Amino acid sequence: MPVSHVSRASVAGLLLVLSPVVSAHAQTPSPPVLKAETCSLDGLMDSIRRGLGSKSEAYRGYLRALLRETAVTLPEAQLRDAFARERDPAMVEHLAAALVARTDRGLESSALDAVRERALGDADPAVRAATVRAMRRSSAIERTGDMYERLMRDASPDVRREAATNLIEDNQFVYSGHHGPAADAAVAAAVGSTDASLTARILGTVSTEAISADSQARLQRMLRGGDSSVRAAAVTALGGVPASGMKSSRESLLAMYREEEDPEVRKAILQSIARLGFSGAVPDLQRLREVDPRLAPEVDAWTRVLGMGLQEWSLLLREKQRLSQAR
Amino acid sequence: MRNTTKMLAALTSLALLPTASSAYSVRSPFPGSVTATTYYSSGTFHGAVDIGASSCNYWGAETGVVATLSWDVSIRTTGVVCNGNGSGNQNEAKHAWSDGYTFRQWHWIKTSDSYDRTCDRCQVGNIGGTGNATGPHAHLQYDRYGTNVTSWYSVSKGQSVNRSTDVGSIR
Amino acid sequence: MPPDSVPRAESPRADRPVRRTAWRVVALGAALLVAGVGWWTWRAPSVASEQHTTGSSPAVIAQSGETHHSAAQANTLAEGEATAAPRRFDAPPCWQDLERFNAEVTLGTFREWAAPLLGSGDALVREYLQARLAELIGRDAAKAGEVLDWAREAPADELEVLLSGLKDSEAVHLPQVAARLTAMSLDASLDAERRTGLLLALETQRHFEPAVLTRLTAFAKDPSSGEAGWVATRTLGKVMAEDARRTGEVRPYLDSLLTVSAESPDEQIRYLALTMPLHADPVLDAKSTERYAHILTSEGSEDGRQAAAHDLSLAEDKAHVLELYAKAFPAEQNVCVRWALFRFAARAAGREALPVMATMALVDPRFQPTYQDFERIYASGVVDFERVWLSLSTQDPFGCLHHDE
Repeated sequence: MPVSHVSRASVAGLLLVLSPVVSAHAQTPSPPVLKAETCSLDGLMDSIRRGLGSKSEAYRGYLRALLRETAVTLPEAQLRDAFARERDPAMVEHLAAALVARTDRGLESSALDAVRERALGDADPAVRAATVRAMRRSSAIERTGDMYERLMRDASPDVRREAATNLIEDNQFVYSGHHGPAADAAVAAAVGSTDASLTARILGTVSTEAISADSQARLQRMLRGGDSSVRAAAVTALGGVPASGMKSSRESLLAMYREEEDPEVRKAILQSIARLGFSGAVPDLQRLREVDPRLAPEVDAWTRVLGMGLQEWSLLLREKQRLSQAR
Repeated sequence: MRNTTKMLAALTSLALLPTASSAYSVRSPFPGSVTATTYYSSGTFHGAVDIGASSCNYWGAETGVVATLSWDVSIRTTGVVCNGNGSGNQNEAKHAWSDGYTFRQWHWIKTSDSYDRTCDRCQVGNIGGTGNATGPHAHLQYDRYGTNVTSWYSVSKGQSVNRSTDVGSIR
Repeated sequence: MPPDSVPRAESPRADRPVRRTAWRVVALGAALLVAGVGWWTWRAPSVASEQHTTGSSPAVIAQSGETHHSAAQANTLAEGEATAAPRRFDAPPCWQDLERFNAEVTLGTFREWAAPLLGSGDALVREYLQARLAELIGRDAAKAGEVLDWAREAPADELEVLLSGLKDSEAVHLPQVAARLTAMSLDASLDAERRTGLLLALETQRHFEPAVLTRLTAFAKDPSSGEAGWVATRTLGKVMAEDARRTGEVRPYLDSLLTVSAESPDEQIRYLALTMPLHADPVLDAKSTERYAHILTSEGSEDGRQAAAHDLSLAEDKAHVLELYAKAFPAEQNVCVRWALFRFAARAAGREALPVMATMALVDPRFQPTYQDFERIYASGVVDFERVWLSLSTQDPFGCLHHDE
């Protein structure tokens, strides 16, 4: 507005009059023109790049899902080229997830191979961590050879942490604990890691119900390790071994209990002995009761819970936790 | 009350959107229509979802759970069977969780896709009618220790479905 | 079967009353069907060009001995292995201007702006709308109240999004919102499908007070509630599972579900009420055990009796429940119910149930092979029933998994 033609007072007055209108207009902008169109990779990437800054998790989640669902209809070569060119870890993660989706939806396994190569070989640890995250809850564990063992020795703690999370979540959510090779891969990666906290996290969490005799032997060797958290985790893992290894596990744990000094490890031993025998473990537990008076209440709690006669470990564990909370 | 889940169907995503991080949507393995849910038309208990197709051995039968899962694939029939070849002969893909719940998909025809596989909505065979079937269809069942769960699905008989249609939510 | 336990007749299926609301439901379902098929149809002209196929064409598949138009003529149409069908994918669309929608939409503009997307049939964008609405409601009771106001009159496809958004919002857990949601769910002046949606939204609750439980129970078993009674039963079970997970509280919910299991005249609702405890695994006290024991012998539906056998496997008194199973087995004529009694004896008492199971296998020799299977598994050292179940040579020795017509 050419101010020279009107007085400042008039301008001020006009603004005063207009301001509610302007304000109201700002509050109710015109509706967006929503029009469906066929997705293109470039368009999707632009949307995602801009959407990364959105405060709306709903929108970010939508864009993530959209790219994953669209990935199977986009040209693979275009997707792989874009993935290879991309340097921003957040975008790399989206594109890697799209490639993983192609493989997991039954298309070419080379899509996941490209992600594997980058997870192992990219110079940027943030990119490596992002590609590892993109393989979470996928079939990667059975398609990538020794990748997880190598990732667990990565120089970057972030990469190692993401890899450990994948091993845990893949075993839990993809395989529901029933797949021996996936559990063996987790045990091998955990045992081969020099990061004790991650070794303990994996072994303390992953189901060992289908592990091989070799994996069990590895776990048994870890009972003599110097880190108490790793020992406790190995003990926990040995509590869940297949029937063929239960006797050997039980014997190892009973022998260990008397020599072990750390009370947390001893607690883990009591739990694993309970798991290996259910109500049949009560005599063993009673014998151990005298070894460490500090843990007599723990033995009593297990004895009481096992006495309920429940026949599933998840239920026994639930009742034990409830009992512990009530105490 | 065989029409119960019509209401759920009408409010499908309300009932189905998984709210927990470990919940999964289940989608139709191929385009078709729902031919039975908790009860057959005859009134016989069914306790699962049947999705029928007008054509046999045309569509691939995708695993219905929207997630990458390990599928245990059992082949009991190798030929092209569209209208049933006797109880117990159905081909099956199943995933068993660690708490006694199992999701099963039955009746498809064996193809080169039919092997134990870890995948997300991948094909495990072609739509067919192996086992006890009167036509090509998929039987989707969620059970715990063999007890059928009927609360997971929310489609109704006669409803048309395609591969983006949520049939239910499990876990 | 004890002489004083007169089996309840199965609901006369052919004579089951047609629900008064059925026509409305059909109408609503049809509306959604149109919405759902809309996207499919909209895409149809370009399907050929957009479908990504690998492997052979349908024509090649037909060479395996079948043309898909002649589908259902014979049983085995070809002895050889079928050719794998090509992959066919449906990709969701991208929406121009959705970014601006997301950035500028408010609760006040949500309904108007979302309308074009609702009819698109794009499931992914519907999920987005629901999640975005949940964000817009946030933890604000007034905003949640506004959405509930809309829910009184919104058309079916919009109602679904509105209530899903409310369900996912933080505000749904606020006492005043929960109270209003409960009241509306049970408000007889609202049409049945609206109440169904509200009851589904009520599943988000973490706890029900006794007064709410009483009202929901009465509603669930009342024949006049129709399909909404089924949803109320499911809601009871869902909230029980959540409360059990968080606090261990199951008893009041179990009482409610038992009441519905025993008193609903509708077989499907009774079955649902009997199976909802599966999601919470409650350990049964003496009173609940007796109530389930009564259902085990009096329920007319064999599927209901199987579910009762399942529930009883977590009875506190293992010896007593084994006695119940042992007594019920010879009186039970249905092999699938017998199979439930048999396997759930193992779930109840583990290897200590083997003598009872052996007796059952003497009563019904068809159970000999499966008895030997259990015996073998327990002898191997397996103690966890979950692993026992996975170790069985067959989980379906009597063809009970598939309820054939």
